[in-house]
Amino acid sequence: MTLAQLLFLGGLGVVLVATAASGVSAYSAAVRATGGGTPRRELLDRLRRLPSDRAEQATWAFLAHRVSGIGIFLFLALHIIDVGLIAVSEGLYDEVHELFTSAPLRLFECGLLVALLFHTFNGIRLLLVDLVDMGPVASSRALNAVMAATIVLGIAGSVVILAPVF
Amino acid sequence: MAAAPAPTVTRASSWIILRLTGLVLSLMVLGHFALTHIVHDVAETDAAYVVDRLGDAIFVAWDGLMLWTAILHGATGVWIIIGEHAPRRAALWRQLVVATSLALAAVGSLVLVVA
Repeated sequence: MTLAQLLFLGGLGVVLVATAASGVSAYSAAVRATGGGTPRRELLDRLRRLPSDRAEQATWAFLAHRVSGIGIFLFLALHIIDVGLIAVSEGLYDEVHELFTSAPLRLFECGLLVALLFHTFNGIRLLLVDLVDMGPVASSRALNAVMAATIVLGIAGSVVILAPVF
Repeated sequence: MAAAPAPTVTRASSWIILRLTGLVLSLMVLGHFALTHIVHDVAETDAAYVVDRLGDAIFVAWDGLMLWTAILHGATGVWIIIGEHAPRRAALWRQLVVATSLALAAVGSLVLVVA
């Protein structure tokens, strides 16, 4: 393991920890705002309702949008630097780039893909909610479509990304 | 009646910035990811690939536009989050985000031009 590789992995560790911390922070802020504790049994009861009757799924979408956005932005900062290494030397770039082909980093790339897909599709949903003036039922259905597209394309992409490992 | 302080970024302008840049990025970033992880395996995008890519004016334009758009989108998003989570020290945090974002955009642009 070279110094550049160690530094990159350290940077990636910071990105992941900061993203998780932002998730905890955003979640606890949401819990404080609604004044309630975390739903446990109540959550199961609510999940039995019709999707259009579950308003809190929009809150989860809000949290996931925020946290995925923070994670992607933090990774972008690291990515500008790791690609920028090519201006220093091609050898240094290859040294760090080699890490992306390892199994753990490929798994990270799958996570990044899912974050990008969700953030993109949910972002389009938010645009439509405002522009077309969607009501709660339509926007709830749109969120189901967002989730379906994220899961289908996320799995399909992950198969391609992880294929060289097997 | 005291005049309200002039907002630097109003709600309306941050709404427009986020949506417009988001629409552009939805094509550019997913295209970028598809090209570098689906069409090509990540193992193929070594230094030789990047040097070849940066020799193509279309890719330099693509990467440059994507770089600035992504940073503008991310910084605007974080700008809003700061206002909601740390309203008292928002000015300080926002200055930090703007300075870091500009530095990243400058580094990225320099790499695109030099490499």
